[in-house]
Amino acid sequence: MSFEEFVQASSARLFRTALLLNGNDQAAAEDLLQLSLERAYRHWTRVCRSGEPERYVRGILANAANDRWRRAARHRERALDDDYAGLVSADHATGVAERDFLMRALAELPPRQRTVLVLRYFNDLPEAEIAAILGCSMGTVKSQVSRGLARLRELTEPGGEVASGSARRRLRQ
Amino acid sequence: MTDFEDRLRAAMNASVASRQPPPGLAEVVRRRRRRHNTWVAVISAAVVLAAAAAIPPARSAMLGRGAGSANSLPAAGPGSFGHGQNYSCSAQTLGALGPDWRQGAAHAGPVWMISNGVAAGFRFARPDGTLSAVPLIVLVRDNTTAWVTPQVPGGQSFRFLPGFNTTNKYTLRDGAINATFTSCSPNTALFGSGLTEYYIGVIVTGPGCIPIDVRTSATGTPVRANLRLGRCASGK
Repeated sequence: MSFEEFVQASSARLFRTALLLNGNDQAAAEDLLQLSLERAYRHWTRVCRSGEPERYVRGILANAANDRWRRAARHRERALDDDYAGLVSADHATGVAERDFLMRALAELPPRQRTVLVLRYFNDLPEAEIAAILGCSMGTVKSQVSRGLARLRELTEPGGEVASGSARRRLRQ
Repeated sequence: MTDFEDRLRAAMNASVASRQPPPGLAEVVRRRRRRHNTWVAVISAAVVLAAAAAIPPARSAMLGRGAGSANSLPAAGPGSFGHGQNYSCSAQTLGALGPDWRQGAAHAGPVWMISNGVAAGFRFARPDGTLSAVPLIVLVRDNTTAWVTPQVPGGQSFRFLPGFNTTNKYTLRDGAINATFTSCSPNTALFGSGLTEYYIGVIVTGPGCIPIDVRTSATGTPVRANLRLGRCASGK
């Protein structure tokens, strides 16, 4: 498979993963995808030999997302509060509002937790494969998934244990 | 799978389902790769140049020579070549020369420069401000690093080009004021006879005889050659 054919066939799926890893930031997602494809292009013969180039590139993507977040510290964890005042003001119970709120909450998670959740629930990867991609144990993946979900619940569900300020109160209204 | 996990999965899928990557992604990646390679080449060249500049003073220091001694390099010598054009062994060429090539060469120390001559109608500079490349054959004694500085007469400019482009249109910004020639070892030099050959381009704003100063790590003091490019100011 040529590099062009691969990009043609897989770039949409990889781009969507990159979007989720970058909190729906289009420019950051494009940059991340280009970076990952460039790394794959450098060793394209080897990537093809692996038999699953998309899986290989997805691994680069996930790790590059973590690296760049770690280096740049662009995102810091912070509580969802008044920043989201406009989000649920019209119809707090609609699925659209909840979806948006979930995605914003996902974007606020620490990068490693977000990456694990994206690989687990968007890419439907088993925990063992996520552990192999990120170079950690399966136990770490399980705990990251568990903590990530718990944090999302805290931020988005009315019945969560930890209050997340006004946003959750608005959801209750 | 809990209800919350289902909702999270659905939210992820719905939020990006209609999003598409930018067109021409493969070409963008290729360009990015080329840019990366260029940067690597530039940084490597800078490292080689820095090492070449650092080795002679370090060698002098190891041999116990003071900075101001007769054998040390002058202050205006290699150390000031940060922005020069480096022609290393990997840039060597192999072009046949006639047996009497030395007669027409501008010679200074271990360096010979040969211009094939400039035709009468040759335009060094065009009305749009661009300059034409003048090809030069440079021969450098093997195992030598030579620092070459043109002593350009007032009103003239001279630059060493990193290579030739397809349009033969250059500006002064495309070249470097100085050049360093790092020749090959006798085992790797293709030209033979103890010399390494380079085929390079220079740009000059007009015809003239350009004094060229050549320094080497061995001699330290400059040796001058006169490179004739077209008609000299004296009319010769």
